[in-house]
Amino acid sequence: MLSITNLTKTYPNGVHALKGVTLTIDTGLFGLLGPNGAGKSTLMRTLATLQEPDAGAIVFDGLDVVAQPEIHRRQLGYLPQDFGVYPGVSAYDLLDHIAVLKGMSEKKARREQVEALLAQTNLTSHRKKAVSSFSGGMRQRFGIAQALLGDPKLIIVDEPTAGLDPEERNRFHNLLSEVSENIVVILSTHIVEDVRQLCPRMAILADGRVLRTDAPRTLVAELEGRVWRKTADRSTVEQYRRSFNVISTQLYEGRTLVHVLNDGQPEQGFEVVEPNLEDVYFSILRAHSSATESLHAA
Amino acid sequence: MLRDVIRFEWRYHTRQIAFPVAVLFFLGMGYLLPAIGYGPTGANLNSPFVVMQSVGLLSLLMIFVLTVFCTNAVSRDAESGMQEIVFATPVGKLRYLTARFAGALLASLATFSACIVGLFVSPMVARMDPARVGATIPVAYLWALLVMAVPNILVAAAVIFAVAILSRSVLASYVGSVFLYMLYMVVGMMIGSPLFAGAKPLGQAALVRAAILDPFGISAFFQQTWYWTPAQRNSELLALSGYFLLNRVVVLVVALGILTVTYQRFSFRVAAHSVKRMLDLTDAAPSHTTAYQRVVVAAPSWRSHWTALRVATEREFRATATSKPFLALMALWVCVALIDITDNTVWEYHTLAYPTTRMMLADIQTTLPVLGALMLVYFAAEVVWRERIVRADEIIDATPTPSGVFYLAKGSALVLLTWLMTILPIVLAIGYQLATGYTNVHPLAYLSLFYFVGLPLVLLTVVIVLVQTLTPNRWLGVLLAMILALAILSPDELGLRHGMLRFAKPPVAPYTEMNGFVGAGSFAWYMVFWFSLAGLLAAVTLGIWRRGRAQSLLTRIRALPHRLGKAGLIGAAGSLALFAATGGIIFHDTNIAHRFETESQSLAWRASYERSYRRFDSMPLPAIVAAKATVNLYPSERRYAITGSYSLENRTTKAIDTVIVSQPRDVPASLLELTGARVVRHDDVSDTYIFALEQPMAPGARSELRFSVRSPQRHVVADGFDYDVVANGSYVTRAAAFPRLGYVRGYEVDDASERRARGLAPPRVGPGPIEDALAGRDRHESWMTLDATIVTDEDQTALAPGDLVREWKDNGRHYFHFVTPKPTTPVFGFVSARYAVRRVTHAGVNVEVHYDPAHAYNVDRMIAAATRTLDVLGSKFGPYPSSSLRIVELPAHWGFGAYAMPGVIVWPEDRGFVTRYREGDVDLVTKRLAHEVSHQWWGHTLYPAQVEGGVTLVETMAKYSELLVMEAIQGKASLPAMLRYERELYVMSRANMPFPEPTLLRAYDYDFVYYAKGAIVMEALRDLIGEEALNRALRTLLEEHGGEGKRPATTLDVEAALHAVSTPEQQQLIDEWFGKVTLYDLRIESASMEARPENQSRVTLTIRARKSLEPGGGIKPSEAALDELIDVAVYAENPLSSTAPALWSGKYRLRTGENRITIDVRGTPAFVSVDPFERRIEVERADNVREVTRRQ
Repeated sequence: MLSITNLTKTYPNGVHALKGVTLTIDTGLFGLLGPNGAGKSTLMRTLATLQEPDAGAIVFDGLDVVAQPEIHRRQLGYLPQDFGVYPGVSAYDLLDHIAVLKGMSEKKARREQVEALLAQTNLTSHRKKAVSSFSGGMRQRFGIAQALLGDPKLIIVDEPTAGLDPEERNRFHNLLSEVSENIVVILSTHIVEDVRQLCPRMAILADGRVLRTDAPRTLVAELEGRVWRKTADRSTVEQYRRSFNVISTQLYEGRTLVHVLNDGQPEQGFEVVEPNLEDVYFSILRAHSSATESLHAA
Repeated sequence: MLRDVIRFEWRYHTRQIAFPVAVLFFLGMGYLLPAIGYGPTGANLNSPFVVMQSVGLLSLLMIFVLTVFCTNAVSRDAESGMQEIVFATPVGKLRYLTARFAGALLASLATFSACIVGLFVSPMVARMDPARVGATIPVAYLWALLVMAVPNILVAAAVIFAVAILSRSVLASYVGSVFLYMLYMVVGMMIGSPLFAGAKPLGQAALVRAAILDPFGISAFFQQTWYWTPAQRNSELLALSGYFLLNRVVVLVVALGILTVTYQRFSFRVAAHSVKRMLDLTDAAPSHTTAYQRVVVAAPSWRSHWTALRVATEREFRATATSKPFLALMALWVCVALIDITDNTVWEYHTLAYPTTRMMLADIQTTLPVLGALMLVYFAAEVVWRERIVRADEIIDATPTPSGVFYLAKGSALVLLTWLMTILPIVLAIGYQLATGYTNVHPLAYLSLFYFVGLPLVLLTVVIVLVQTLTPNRWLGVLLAMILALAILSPDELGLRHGMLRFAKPPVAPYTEMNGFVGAGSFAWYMVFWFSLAGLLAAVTLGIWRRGRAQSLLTRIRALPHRLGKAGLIGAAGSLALFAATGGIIFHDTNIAHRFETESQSLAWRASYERSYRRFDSMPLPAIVAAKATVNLYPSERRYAITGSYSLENRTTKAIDTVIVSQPRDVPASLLELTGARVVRHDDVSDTYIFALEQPMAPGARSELRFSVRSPQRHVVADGFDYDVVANGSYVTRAAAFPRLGYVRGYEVDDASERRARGLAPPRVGPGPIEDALAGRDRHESWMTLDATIVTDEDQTALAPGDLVREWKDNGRHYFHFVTPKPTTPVFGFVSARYAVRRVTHAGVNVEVHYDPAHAYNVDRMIAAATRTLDVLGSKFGPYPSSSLRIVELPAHWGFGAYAMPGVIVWPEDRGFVTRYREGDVDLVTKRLAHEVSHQWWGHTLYPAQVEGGVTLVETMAKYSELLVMEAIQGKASLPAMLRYERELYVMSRANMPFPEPTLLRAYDYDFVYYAKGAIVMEALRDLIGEEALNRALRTLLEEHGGEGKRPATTLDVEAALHAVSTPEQQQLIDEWFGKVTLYDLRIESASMEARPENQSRVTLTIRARKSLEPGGGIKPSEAALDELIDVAVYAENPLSSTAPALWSGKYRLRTGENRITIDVRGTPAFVSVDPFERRIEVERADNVREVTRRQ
């Protein structure tokens, strides 16, 4: 179990990336959803021991991660948001290399796992080719393969599906859910769909703070019967924005589809819709931003 | 618009931190050069010549700054991910390239201007010898900037920019810059550029070749100024003409050509390799059937760390070693190494030597550290930053491998690269040895490179990795590492003499074939000392090692103790303790157990010695009439002990009541007693004793000085080795170990400005005027007998002047008892080594060659040369004065050519024993041996007065003897080649003198006068008055002044003897050649021929001739009327490239101005030459030969 308490981080340039993040994460896939700049990558890198928090604690299975990063790294699998590789080194060689760095000095065990992971990530036929020549999807699969090397208890994947085509994303999800059975897997993303498909639990992070933590299903249930939809043209959308709690607007065949959060029907023409995770995400973000706005106004 | 883009570039460069660092560095270098007295000794520190030379030197350093600016200008788009954006903008190709290039160039020029400021200001501000600072000539600085620096920077920038932009590889540009530097080095070595040590005299042809090839114009600068006198150097600006102009034009054209090609080949595509090999992915449907298998990782152990270290090191090493830039660097290194290897097999007079391992190693030992350091500076940036450059750092840093493993892996990979660079020249050298049929390969000597060069490179690696860990980006790291590496490689230039201040650069003795290594143990002490410091630096590096997201240096330093942990801190403390402990031991051995003096301490005791004892300089001294000594040599322990005595006799006309005795400062006496006297003063610092005689020594009275001395034993050598006693090849001289009587002039401070600063009179010039000798005031020592017993290791042979009266072994020691049967000149030394010997008896003289068994190559030639010399000189100058002639090999760490003691010639191995004679070469072995053997007449029979011109009587006469013997053995035709070399040596050397050149009559110090000029003058003299008359005069001289008890001769006696055998006209020439600095200028202005019947031709030529005379002592030369017989010859082939004899040669009376000559010859003349046999000294000789045109 991973518990994060009051984590804060301010960068030298003044950016306040984490403003007291507290989270408790159990085994299984955990989705960390948030817009760009929410502090997700800072949190991920902090969990991956690549940077130190200014304050706060991270405890994983009883281990103080901040104080003993070198021990924490032994149980860590990390797929950074964006990574490069040594040029000209083949997938097999590079996995083998990272496996050694992860402490696998047993040659046979290493070879077996590397072969197995190449098979699982469907890279066996490209094992002799340089990773630096891989396409985005292949590279991402290589990324997850290296994160799975050894015996990780905590896997951190930061924006893994950005740039993947739908099929590749699907494959990626399958692999993630397969490995997440007994360990903690944290998936950070700004794509709601990823979380909906994969994560039994999730948190929404914005502006360096955790806005909500719960099971997606519970969050969706909270909105049952409160989300209303209407197709409108552009001028009226502006008007709706002023009058109602518009949680999202979406273009649909050239016209705008407006989602409004309201306890009753806001206006003639609105129809109630089955809420989805996207509605939850946007409503929470919206609530947060209006709260900060009014705070600033006050 | 272009201006805006360039302005942007300018702002970009000047705001990089590298810019102010580089500016400060160049300002500092500019300031430093005059302050440390850079430049030839004769020229002012702010003279146009020195300014030009300094600017040339510093422009070489710009290569490295340019690398940073150019690669930065080119690669910053790709590295910051701006490439696609920039390339997609509508900025045109020309404008893009122009702006980038102009930006880098402007920034570089601005940087370089800083050193001009430094050079300009330094002579006004820094404390320096006022005698070496002339009036400031501002235009000289601008001129140097314009004609030297700007073209150099332009061409270097063009090359590096082109490589950077076409390869898009930072490392490739580094290698491009190293290539430029090497090109300069290669050309510089070709001409023996004064920027390199050991300039060799070479013909104009080589100078001209280098002048054109050297891209930095420095060789062209030297070509133009090669024979400039100090006055010219101080006032004249380099002319933009001749080869210098040609070089500058070529350089600019090449630069423009490179830029044009770059423009044509550059295209706005994202670097091809990042696109072209992107795989086309058509994956089959997900097919994985196996479930994810975890593999439990064992707890970290030494084994897992070791595996990680091995794998990571291998990856780092392989990635660099197989990269194109490294391979290019290695290709370059092969070229340099080959030059290094072959360079040392060529010696004086262009003779060859066998490729002994010593010859192979000598240059490698000095270039490998430099190139290795360069490699480290550039490639460490790549290795240390590798993960960050390819953005693999987050994955790698999140693995549990400790930072220490990464640090060690990167460091080890760099060290392995230096090993690769070490192996390469070894393989080449061994290949060269075997290919030339030489099989005496010494593997251990080669492996020593890993020790003497390899270990310091490891230290440098530690420092450079630390620098790269400290700096926020690798550009700055490269710059700082470069500055640091330069400083570490040149402690002498920084004035660091004490071994403890010379990081990674303890004194290293040269390897010799005879003796192997000296000082490996001393080196080891320093290595422990510096490695313990390196351990501390390594701990710091580890403590601030980058792991994860970039953190500021301050943050990393704060985290240092925590990140090092207890073990790390203990390790650091341990290193510090070891550093302190070895430092203490080295300091004790250097400064406390022995004497270590800084430059100023040394000057201080010398000044105080002079003040205290100069009054004894003119006091009468008793003569040493006999020396008796037991010399105990312990070669394996590198020490000796001597007990002995001098028999003294008052041969003056006055009673002596005080005797001053000096013991060589490093060889303390445990006993020093003068019979009938007591020590009234013992000065510890100069080790001077003053004895007061209880009864003054009356004229003719005798006394005895008894002494017992022993050599010091030191473990650690602070600055330079002494080689008196070594394992094989000891050579202990009287001067090094025995007490001396009288005031030691050699202790006086001789630098004029240092003397002035200490309130001392101006320095002595030379050994005293001839007039001193005429008045009986010269410091001539008496002849003496020697009775010496040398005791050495059982397997060694010991040698000394005199007859070997007894040789025996006792108790594991070998005894040799030598006695001189009659008094000899007071010169002796003792040699001991494991020798093979060859003996012949020739005309009653026992001739022996004692040589290292591995060096038998030239022993037969030596025996032949020695016996022939005995015959030739015996017939011309009188019988050989001794019953034996022993020729003894010494290890090559003795730098002299050879040295003659009475009956014994000591001769370092490189200077004859391993000479490889080829048909057609100058026979160096015979020549040198003839010279040394002749000293038994000139030096040890005729022992001249110790005044000006004394050396002429010894060395010029030996040079003449050399010519006589060479002519007897090789024929007259062999002489011009040798004389040509002497003339070139003379005119080159005289251009580089700090004080005016003396004449032969009053020669001292400048060896090029009494050797090189002397040889030419003697040959001219022989031609002038005839050999018979000349030899008769010299024989008279030997009879009147040779041997004990005769009045010591001076050059005035030579002159008188020569006058006695010559006509008044000849006498005038003799006086000019001996008593003046005489230079001729003979030039054939036209030569034409006309065919005549019966295969006859008539050649008509005009010769312009003049002669200048300089009275010597710096008085300006004046024109003199030339009116003398000079050789003219007519050739069918070019005499400079062919050895075919002349069709005709004869003498013509040439007068100042134009001389028309008509010569009728048989055959078809093609060339004419004036003074073809090199009997007149000219600076410019290219115009002495001319092709004959055919007249219709």
